[in-house]
Amino acid sequence: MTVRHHLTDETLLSYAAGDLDDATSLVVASHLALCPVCRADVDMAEDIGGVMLDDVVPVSMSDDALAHVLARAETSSRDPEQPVEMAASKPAGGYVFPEPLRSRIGGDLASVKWRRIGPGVQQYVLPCRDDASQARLLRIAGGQGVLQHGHTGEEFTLVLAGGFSDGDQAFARGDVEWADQDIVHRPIADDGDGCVCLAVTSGPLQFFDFVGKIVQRFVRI
Amino acid sequence: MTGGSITPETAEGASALMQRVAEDADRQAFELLFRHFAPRVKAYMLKLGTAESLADELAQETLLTVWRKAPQFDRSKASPSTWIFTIARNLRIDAFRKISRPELDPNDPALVPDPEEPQDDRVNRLQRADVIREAMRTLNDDQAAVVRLSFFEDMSHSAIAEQLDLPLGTVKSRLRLAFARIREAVGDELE
Ligand SMILES: [Zn+2]
Repeated sequence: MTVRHHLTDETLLSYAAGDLDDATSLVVASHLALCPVCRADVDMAEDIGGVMLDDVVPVSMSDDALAHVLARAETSSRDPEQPVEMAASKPAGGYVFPEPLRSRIGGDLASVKWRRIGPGVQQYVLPCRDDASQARLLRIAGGQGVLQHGHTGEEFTLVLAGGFSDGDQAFARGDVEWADQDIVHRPIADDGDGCVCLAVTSGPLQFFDFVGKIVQRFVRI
Repeated sequence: MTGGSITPETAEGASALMQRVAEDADRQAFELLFRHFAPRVKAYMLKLGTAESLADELAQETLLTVWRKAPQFDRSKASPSTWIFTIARNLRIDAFRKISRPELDPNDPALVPDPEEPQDDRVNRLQRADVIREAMRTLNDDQAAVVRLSFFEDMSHSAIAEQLDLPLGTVKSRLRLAFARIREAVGDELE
């Protein structure tokens, strides 16, 4: 599997700097688990942070800071070198959700409590620690789509299973589609098993037809 | 390198000290790391708008985490400064929060592994800091400013755009150009 649709450099840089809101960090970190290319870029961006930390003008610590930390070090246990890998916990087919998504949901695909929001479309809204963006899982049946919509902010859609197409572009596991206020689109899930994805939006979507507007009123997409 | 002469000023030196902390729970080595890094982490916290007492506390917490997690430090993957930066960043973001910052888990069975990296490239992780520092000096003022605001002001792209009175697209393209320049420099070094 090779990821073809990546995150932008400026998004990776902001993730490394620690500037992204919770939901956006979640979709970035989940993509990183599936994409060694972007992971290498985040490594490099974190090196920028390391260099900046090295070059900052130091500020004196409080007088007893070192003694304090040494005293606490005395009594604290240290983390082992290799975290114990529980082989038994790995399902035969592998996980659909990578970390940190799995922990946030509290399990893999089978444990999601879906809620139907339209023909062939189910969603699950994830708990987030700030409300700057919203994260939701979407499960879309084969050949179905989310209604055509525009955006009032940014939207990241990460494919976790199956795939979808949007115009002439195809998205499969690990791929991210990015959209903003200049883009109006209608993603369609692949025939067959359809698609499961993580969608993160920083503003409400805009639906253009009557049905979409009604649906929106009820599900607060 | 003999015992007394190791200094945390260089990535090699800091890395050797980290190794002593990891393997021998060496307090002297830890003290050297503390004296070098704690005041820098505190400065980082202050720049991000953290109050003085909390900045001190978070710097202490960062160095305590360095002590605890030293056995997990892998010099083939990051320089000590980079590793400590990520610890400080996450502690700041997670302070007073119940849900922690979303981070990938390198031991997750669902992780798509890295392609095999030649041994030489891995060794270069320690020298990469110098290459990046040099590359950052070649950024123009506009590019350097958006990078600094990203790392040291905790600003989203739109917040940076507002502060600098620039269109959002301009902020993004400056970040992209700065990043491309640094990547190019790192790429050249590994040739
Ligand atoms: Zn990627």
